[in-house]
Amino acid sequence: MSSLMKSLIIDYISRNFSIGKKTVKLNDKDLYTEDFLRGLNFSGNLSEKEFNMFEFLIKKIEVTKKLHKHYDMNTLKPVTVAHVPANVCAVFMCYCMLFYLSTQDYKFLNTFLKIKDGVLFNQNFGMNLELRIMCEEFVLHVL
Amino acid sequence: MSYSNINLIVIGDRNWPGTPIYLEYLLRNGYQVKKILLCDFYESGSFRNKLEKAVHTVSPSLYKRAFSPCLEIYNPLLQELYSAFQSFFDFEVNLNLQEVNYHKYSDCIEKYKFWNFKDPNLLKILIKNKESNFLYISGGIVPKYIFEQGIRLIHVHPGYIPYTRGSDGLLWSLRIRGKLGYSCFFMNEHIDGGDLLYRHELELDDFSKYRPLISEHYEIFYRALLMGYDPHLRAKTLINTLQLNGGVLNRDKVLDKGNDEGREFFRMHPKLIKRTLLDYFK
Repeated sequence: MSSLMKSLIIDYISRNFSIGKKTVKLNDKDLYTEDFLRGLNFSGNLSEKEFNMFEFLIKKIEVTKKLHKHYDMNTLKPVTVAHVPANVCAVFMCYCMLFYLSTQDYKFLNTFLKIKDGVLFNQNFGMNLELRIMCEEFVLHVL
Repeated sequence: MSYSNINLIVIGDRNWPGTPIYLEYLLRNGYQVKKILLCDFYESGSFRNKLEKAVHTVSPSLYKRAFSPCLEIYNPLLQELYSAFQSFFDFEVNLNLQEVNYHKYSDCIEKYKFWNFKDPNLLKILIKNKESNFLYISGGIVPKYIFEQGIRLIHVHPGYIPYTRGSDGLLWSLRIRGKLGYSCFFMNEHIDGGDLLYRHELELDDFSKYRPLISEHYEIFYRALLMGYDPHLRAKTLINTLQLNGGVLNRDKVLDKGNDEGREFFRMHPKLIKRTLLDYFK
């Protein structure tokens, strides 16, 4: 079931976000949220740096309820006031599901549940029907 | 029984059972604190909760007429669970916190009303007494400038620091490490950071007879744990810390946490709270 669920999530991300098609070089100074997410691979095996950056984004969402486009990794603060577009919020949520399935790390599951229920993200990122169904199937599968 | 006076001022939230529970443990173990700052923190809780507390303070009878009473003292199941969960320990603190006699815990009791820890009047009092350590029990976020004034706040966190820092520590500890964890430390501006004095991990008590309640009443179950179970374990951790250090807490005695910064966890989603209670309280 897990592998089927993973396939569904990967398929959704691929169709809605040109992921893995761009090689993104991570640096210690800046984090461009959208580029970072595009550069992640689907296996769920994150490098230590990717894991730390993903955790950093989780912290930002949990604390500020927002995801900005660009963060300064020295100050750990957003560089611009601009938020990521709605499809990036959706993809971030999908990655939380994917990484939970790969790692069984409940921190990912917790953030996913809060995004799904609208606790996080002040902006309504308008989940479409396909994504809603997938999320509910995922919840039934893991809880 | 003779008591040893310790250089500790308790910042006690008058509306939180943790306050009398800590003080009772200190007394039973022969420690008398220098002073108790008995505080009402207005900001804690939701707007509805604050409104209810305010009306209840003015007139309990009006409160009962105006609201479908949901403050803790009017919830029978919460009351029973609160009491039942305290049966794992040597004593029980009644939920009617307004009736607690604090004079047996210290010769010096001062009563205050603060908005939260950002209240400038609280800062003045802390500065005035800054030669003492303060026990932080609750009251919300502590602003950075308090630490910059050299004020030493001691806190007990329900997690094995640094591995389970942040909110809902009791449940995250079970979820991540499979057991309870408690740590006593000098607070700093980072979430559950600061100099560590003591930490330990322990097994959960046998909750099997209460398990059938979790599915339907997991929110009340968890609330009762936070009010009636967790404060006892926090207070015991403080006692262990004091006993290990001969009643004197200072930064010369801090433990090495290693280089691992551990992980910070955030408030747990209700569905995950329920799942965690079902998975571990059996």
